[in-house]
Amino acid sequence: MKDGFRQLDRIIRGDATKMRALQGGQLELSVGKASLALLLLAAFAGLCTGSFGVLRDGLSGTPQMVSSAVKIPLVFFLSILVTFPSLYVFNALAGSRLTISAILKLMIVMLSVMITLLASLGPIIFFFGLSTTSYPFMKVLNVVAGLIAGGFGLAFLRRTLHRLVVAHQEHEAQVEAASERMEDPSAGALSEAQEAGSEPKPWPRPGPAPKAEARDDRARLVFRIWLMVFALVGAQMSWVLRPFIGAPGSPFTIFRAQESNFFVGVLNALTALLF
Amino acid sequence: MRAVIHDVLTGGRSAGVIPILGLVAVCCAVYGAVVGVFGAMHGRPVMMLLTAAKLPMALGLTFVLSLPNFWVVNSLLGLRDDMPQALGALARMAAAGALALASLSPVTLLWYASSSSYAGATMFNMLMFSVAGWVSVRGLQRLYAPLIAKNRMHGRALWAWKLGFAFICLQTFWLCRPFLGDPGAPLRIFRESAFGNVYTELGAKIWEAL
Repeated sequence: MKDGFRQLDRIIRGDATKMRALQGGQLELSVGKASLALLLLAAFAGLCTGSFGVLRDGLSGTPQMVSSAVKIPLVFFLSILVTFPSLYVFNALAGSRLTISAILKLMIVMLSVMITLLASLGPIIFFFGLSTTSYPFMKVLNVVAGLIAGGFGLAFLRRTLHRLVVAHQEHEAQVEAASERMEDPSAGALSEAQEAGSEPKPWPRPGPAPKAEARDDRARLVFRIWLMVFALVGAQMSWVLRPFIGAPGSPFTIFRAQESNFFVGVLNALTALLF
Repeated sequence: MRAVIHDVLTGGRSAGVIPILGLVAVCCAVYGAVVGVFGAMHGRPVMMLLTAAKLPMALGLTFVLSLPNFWVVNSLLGLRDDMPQALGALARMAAAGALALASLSPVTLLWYASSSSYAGATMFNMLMFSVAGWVSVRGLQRLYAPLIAKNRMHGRALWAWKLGFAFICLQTFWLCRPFLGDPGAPLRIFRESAFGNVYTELGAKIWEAL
């Protein structure tokens, strides 16, 4: 367990995703340990979200708190589960060299940021749950907290992916240079002389970007599209798994009836709050 | 305590965080007692004790709630190594504001001696809190300047903290009312409508006004 939290700490500090740490084009991360720690943090965030019911309805609100502690981790992990296969397949079709393991680790990095940030906002949500009777306000507050956590997570993922791609390119260039030197030692001496500055480097030839760079650009594009899909899937997954807060005075249900969607729900909450 | 006060007033960095937080609690308690003098002048001396306890508690609760997110945001922005200085700056900021508030106690007492209006006393105390708040914010900018010069991201982390702190602070103080004690209302530790939300209440009032 401690290892899992140490890994999370490395991720949010940026130590696990620095360029130095990504040498060799690999993310050093234990998916299992990190996931366990994330489950606990997400459960804590769920407890804080579901506490509104307890603080309003007393012990009869406890099932809601427990239910939210289970469902908040499910929102994140099920969203990954739903979008992961398509991400890997489209990424591979775009020519990316990222393996399943590398993509999975990237997902864990993203979840680490999202869930840690959401858990850090948990005490604030709990405090407002304690001190307000406004159900629409709590809905809007939780959505805003989710948006903040989601925004940071997706931005962190984009940055880490960029660094991983660059590290991968450098690693491939080093491997290629090493194998060229082994095949033709004189070419290696020439390029070393160029590096040392005694020989002028040839002018770069204009034309289309090298194959590797074009492939990595496609991989980035696939990820950018996937980020939007993940955000939409995550939002709708949270709608499908509701309720998380528990409407005051309403009987506890694990799931609500299937109706409408996340965006209409948020709009209704905003309207109820403002008017 | 004198050494800590001197350290805070002169912008020194020798005082530890615990003595500084102790100073914040004492100064807030002093001003809280002064706020409660209004109630004492209207036959409720217990208000001095209640407000002396509630003011440091409200501020302390706000800080505690804002810290986890401050820690995570600083980590995400790569500022973890500067956390001790950042936290020290926040503590000194709070101390500067609390000292300013405590120093305004005689002015507040003079107001109470000049007017027995509850609405006037409320507005005057809000003004004193605003002045202390301004002193805190200015002090914080000065204390944070070396950190921001080292890494611009400190500026962003600070803005995020200020927004979160203000958001929580308003609700905390709303929850902890009354501080003065309306002479026309029964004496209570917390208002009957304590479980309310400052944002929905103010929003409703603004909407009604419009």
